[in-house]
Amino acid sequence: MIVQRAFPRTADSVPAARHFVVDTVNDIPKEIVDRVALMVSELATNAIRHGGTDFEMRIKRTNDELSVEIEDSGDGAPVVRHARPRDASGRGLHIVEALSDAWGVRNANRGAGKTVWFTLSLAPLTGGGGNEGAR
Amino acid sequence: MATIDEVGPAKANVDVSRNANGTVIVALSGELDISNVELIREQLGLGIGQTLPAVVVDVAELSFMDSSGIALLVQIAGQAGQITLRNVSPLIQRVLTATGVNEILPAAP
Repeated sequence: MIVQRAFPRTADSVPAARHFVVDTVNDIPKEIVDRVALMVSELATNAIRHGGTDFEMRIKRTNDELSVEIEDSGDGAPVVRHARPRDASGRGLHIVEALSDAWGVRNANRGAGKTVWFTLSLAPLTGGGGNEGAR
Repeated sequence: MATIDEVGPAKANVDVSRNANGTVIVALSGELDISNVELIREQLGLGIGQTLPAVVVDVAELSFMDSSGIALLVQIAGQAGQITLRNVSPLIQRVLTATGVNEILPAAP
């Protein structure tokens, strides 16, 4: 399954993108949905702050993995800043790093723009048979 | 959570009270992100340089908070003599720990 949607560069697109992804993956365990919502909120926030124009979110789902990408047309590479506790900002990608199974950045083939992505495993952690998590 | 057809900022509320000991209780509810954190900051009435006595931030009814909300908590912590977070969800606690913010935002049991 692949779902994609474009959002305008406004602060209101952050809750809109978050609610969209939650509605799209609402049949997976809440613990995972909560992590996805938080990471989408961070990436959407970065897109509207640094991204240049509208951004697009792509949600890809297989039986055992969920991946979310947010593409914007801004230049400049995102940087994981390990903010000190009292710093006012700089925690967004650090949170994505902490909560995802994998994440990364792809630069556009030409021109400005980049895609920041993360993945989460949907495979059950226990059971061995692998069917417990099937729905 | 709200449906995707709703447009506009996230919905959050803040309720400030003071208990008999003079501790300020800040109760946050709803969802806190970049779309509404400035509004909540204004409602809190946190002026630059203003100092607060002991503050308890209760997040029991806060269903969502991202790094914009964490930044607000960090600001409150910077202006309070003492700050305690109450009713922190496991996910938020994990994020606070991962980012080191738990050092200045201790959570009450």
